[in-house]
Amino acid sequence: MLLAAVAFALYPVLWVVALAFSSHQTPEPRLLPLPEGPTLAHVREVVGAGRHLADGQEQWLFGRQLLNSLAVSTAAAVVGILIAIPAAYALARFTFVGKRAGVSALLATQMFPAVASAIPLYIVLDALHLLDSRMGLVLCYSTTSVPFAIFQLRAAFEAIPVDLEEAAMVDGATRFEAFIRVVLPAARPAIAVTALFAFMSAYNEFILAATLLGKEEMFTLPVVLQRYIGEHDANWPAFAAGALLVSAPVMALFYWAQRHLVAGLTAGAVKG
Amino acid sequence: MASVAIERLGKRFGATTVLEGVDLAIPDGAFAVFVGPSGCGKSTLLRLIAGLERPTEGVIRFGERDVTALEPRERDIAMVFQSYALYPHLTVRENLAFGLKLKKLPPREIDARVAEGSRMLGLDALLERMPKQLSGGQRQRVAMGRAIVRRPGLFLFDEPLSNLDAALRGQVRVEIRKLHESLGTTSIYVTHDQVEAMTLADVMFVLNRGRVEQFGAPLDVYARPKTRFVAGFLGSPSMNFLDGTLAFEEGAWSVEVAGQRILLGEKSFGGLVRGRAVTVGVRPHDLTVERVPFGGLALTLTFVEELGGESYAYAFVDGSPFVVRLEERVSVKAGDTLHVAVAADRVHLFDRETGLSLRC
Amino acid sequence: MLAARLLAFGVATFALLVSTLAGASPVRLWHAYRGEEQRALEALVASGAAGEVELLAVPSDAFAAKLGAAIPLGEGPDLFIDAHERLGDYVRQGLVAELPFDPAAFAPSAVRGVTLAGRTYGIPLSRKCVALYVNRDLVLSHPEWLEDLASSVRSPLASGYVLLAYENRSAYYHAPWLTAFGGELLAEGDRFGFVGERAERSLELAKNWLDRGWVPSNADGALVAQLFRSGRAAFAISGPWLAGDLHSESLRYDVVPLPKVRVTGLVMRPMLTIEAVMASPRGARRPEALKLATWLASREAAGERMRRAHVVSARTDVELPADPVLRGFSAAADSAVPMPTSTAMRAVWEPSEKAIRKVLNGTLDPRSALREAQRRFDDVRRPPPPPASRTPLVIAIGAALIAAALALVRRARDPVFRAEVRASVPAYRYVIHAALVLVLLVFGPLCAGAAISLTAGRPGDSVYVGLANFWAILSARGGPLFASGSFYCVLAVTVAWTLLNVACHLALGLTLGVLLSRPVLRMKAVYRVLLILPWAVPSYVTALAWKGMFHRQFGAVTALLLRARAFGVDVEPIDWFARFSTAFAANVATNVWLGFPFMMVVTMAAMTSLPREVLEAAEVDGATRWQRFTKIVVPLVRPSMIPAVALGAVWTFNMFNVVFLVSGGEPDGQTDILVSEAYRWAFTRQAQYGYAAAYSVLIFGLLFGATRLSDWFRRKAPL
Repeated sequence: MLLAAVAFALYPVLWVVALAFSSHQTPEPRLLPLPEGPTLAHVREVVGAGRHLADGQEQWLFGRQLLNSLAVSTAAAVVGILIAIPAAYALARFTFVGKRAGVSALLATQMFPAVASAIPLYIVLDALHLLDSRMGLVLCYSTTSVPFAIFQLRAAFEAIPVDLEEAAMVDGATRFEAFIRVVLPAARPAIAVTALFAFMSAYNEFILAATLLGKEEMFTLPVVLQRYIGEHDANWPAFAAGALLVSAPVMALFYWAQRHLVAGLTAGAVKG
Repeated sequence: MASVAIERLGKRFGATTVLEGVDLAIPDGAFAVFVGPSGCGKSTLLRLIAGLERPTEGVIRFGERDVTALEPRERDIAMVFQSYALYPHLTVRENLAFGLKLKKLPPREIDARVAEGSRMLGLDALLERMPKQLSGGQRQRVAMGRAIVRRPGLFLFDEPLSNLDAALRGQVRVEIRKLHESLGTTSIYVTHDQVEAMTLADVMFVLNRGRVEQFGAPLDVYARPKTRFVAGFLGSPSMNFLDGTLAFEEGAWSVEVAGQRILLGEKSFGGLVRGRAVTVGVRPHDLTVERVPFGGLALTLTFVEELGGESYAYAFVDGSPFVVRLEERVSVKAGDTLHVAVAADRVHLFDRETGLSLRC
Repeated sequence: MLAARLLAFGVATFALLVSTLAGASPVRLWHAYRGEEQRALEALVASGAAGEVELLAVPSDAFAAKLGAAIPLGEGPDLFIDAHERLGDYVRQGLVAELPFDPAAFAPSAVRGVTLAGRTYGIPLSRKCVALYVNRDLVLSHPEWLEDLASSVRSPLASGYVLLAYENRSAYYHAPWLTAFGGELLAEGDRFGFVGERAERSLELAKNWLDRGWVPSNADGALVAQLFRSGRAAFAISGPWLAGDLHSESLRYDVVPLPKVRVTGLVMRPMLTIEAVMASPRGARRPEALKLATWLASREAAGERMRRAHVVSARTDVELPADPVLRGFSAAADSAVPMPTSTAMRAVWEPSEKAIRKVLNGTLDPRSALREAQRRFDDVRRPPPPPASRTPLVIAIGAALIAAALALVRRARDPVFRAEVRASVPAYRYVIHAALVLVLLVFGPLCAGAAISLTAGRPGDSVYVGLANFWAILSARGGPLFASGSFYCVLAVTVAWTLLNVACHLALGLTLGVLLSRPVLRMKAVYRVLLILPWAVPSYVTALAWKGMFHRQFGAVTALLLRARAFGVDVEPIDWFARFSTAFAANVATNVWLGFPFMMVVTMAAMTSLPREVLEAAEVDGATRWQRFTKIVVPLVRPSMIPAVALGAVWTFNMFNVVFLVSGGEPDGQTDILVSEAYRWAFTRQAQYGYAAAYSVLIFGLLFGATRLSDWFRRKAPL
């Protein structure tokens, strides 16, 4: 049963792998996804991507763009979590006027198709002078990840006994100190997992990045990947190779986080 | 060190009144116990004293200081929680040092206090462990240690033993009392367990429905309950209650219960009015078995429990359950008739309507 | 709070940076070139002949959207290189400025292509069209007539070989067949041209070729390339991009113009795309930008581009190199018809391709299919609703504001409420920054997006029309309420899609989650990571992998079915996207694959809070494994699963990627869900953003109503 499930989960991914390492543009149809005429050419093509400069030199871009992706996603995850944490804490611990309305509004954001807000968002960022910048992208990604993060973290905070904060407050902490020094560390797994989600959704995002970024050295990897698909034709193997390279850090993160994943989601699962 | 004085304290959550008009005073250095059934407001009272809740009305004073509006951290208190509330991400040592670090004590001082506290509670071997690696008893000790190292003016305990097994509970109870005697810090201890209340308290406060029903030295309260509630709450098995009517015949007071008679003696005291409807309270321990039926109750036993050293015999009197503690092995069995009597000064009398004792 | 401070600091420093850098800037040039063409352009720019240039290679998918977002705000490029057929849209949106040039040296068709209403908007660079690729190993001679293709091959083609590889389901590739019968896709006066006898005969011919097995079914660009490159197609119809693929191969091939069709005697004329350098309004005011544009279109640059990138120049005064492929394309371009620039052209593709597919699948005869296409075209092209009076809107907003103000005043007087607000102050300190950021960057744009639903028309000339869009959607545009493609029909598909997916996610996720929660399981970590994999890989990649697996002739699923046939199970290869049931199934399979890890993880999490004693007690009580699962595990994890299921349902309801990338709505838009339908209205049907926004608002309303309803039910009957 498990093996069958693993095969089911792995099979399409293996096709991507096969395509990435095939020497041909498109692999022959067959049952087993094995690369045909195995080659690293496409990987090299993707990794080595660069451009000519005016002085005739080649500028290497892939590394820079990988860094962009990692930096933007990490920053988005951190900023998103920083915004979400206090709000989630307030929702978990305080009663206040407007709480219910706030929660409904948060849920509502998940229901509105995101496509509709791209252009207005562009105008807002323009007003903030944040177009064409990684900062603007970070801001967009972090805010789009905030509602889900708030839900996750709120559940996590609710699962932490109030006693802990009260103990800290009796021990001489202010409410805020108790929150920072006791509640946050106790919620670490949940925070890590929520951050991972935020990181991932930012890391894989393409439409906003393609719309907002206006300089090649600022592109994130999904935008670069999309460049391998033209209007009439596509460089599928390079696309696949790029996809694998893009996924590698996420897979590594997942492997590292898989134990926390369950612990971190436990809280989330107990109370939505 | 501080005494605690509370005046007209009240607490409402929305429409529910949890505490009302609570007045109490705890002398400096005393070990006070709040006891009562669940929902009586004892934990809320403790949380008000800790500053974790704000009272709706009333004043709390530590010594001369009015602390009513102060934050918990400003009250110089330490608290042991029912769940222990150990910080899960800190080692035992860090747990102990947490409050001291917040106070920004010099590291040397912190080390010294942690060492002292852990020696007192036998935590030396556990200092580098995480809370989840500890047994229930060990966690409880760490929670106490965390309170002790802070050297507060007031210790608060919120049912600290309720998560331990019976044997350990007895042992730790003794230790808590010893600790109190060596530290001499004013302590307030909340429990629903009357044994803990009786054994630990210098002064005991029995709470019911958001009010203090009675307070005093434990044995006084046990011997002279002011209300039917206190009488029934303290003692195990609990007091037997029978409804009856006061009578005065042949120069002696008695209570008539379902055609039988419980003698109260000749001495008269206030509230004795002929024909008054009362509730009689008799502790199972105060009943003696009579060979000759005179001035007592005849019981038809329904069930007998033999515990080895003593036995409990169960019966119904006028439809109410009735328990008798038998000292030696009286060989009785279900269906036997037993005649029991009670010394007149051990009979508790309560007004049937108000539940107040007639003896005080 | 720290975050808010950091943010403010970052914004301030960045604004400072921007203002200092705003001085003299290089000319910004955007393009979507790749490979050789990109290198050629970079080399041209790097030669420094036209001053300082900042190049940006944009993904072609995002090109138009990016221009549309940036240029109206004064951002974006000074110059951009794009295909002429988008000019109609660009002019209408004001994205492009007039760019006069001397037409003498250019091919007349190229000049025509960039001319709208007598003005030229861009200088032509290159001409692109499809031509006939001939595999010299399989073919004896270059046939002049289409009908002679079959007889010109050396020997009868073996199985696995095809005579002519081309993307027969695409209207772009069908256009030459149509012109050979004297037809055109868009007729005079922006009328739908793909209708009538000529169109029918062209379709009959294409269908005939398919039925004979001469052309592959369901061919996309990748498949055509693969067939021809591997020498298994005698002929192929494709553009210059295919030649780029063939460099490394030892294949011997020629490129010639498309043949004539004997029944009419007419040439198959492909559609011509003219790539031109265009100027944004800002760029048109910068002399250095105009200088660069002129230079890029100069004879010298054209020659360079031809040598380096092997593309046919739009100029006629450039000497052709000896490259036979280039010469073939050049000849083909001379006979090609420029693609119409009218915005009506954008409304042609979707109905035409639906008709072509229906005919090729054999579900409809050409006449009915084309009539249906015409109806669709006319429906999309119908004039926008008349501008409505703004008074009802103003009154409604005013009334709402007054009511809100009154309610606020009344509550503000209520001492209890005031006390509550005072008590809430500490909490507000924790939420204020999140609220601000969300309002500014999430709710604001969403509301603005929702407001678009009250307008009609394309960006640039939209008018307020009140609730007309909603009325049109809800009345199924005046057609039968449950016709294919109507709101209600799509809604039914969406609901079925959501239910089926969530059910499968749950079934699979629960089972695996329970299995993985068993205390004794070796290599638990490995299983977990492998099973989470579908979640970790970007979905736009894996969705495409799935689409490939479902290909009728060459997909892995087909290979699997064929393998099954070897074991005596008789299955025919299925054309997955020809029928609703199979296309829907393919979508569901993909989405189940993508979504089950989430449910699995949630189940594992819920299982950790499940006391083991309970399961052991059930085991002692004699429950079987299945009974333990259904009677103990499921009821106990249910409360913790409900929020996850609700969220999963919302996500599935709006799962655009899978539907768009896997089935693409095929067949005939039947597998489209509400979100992909909204997307089509916005991006493939004449940019009717208002209409698309109305769809979004309806989707939101439906989901919000549904969650409210389920909440209410749950409160009434607690689970």
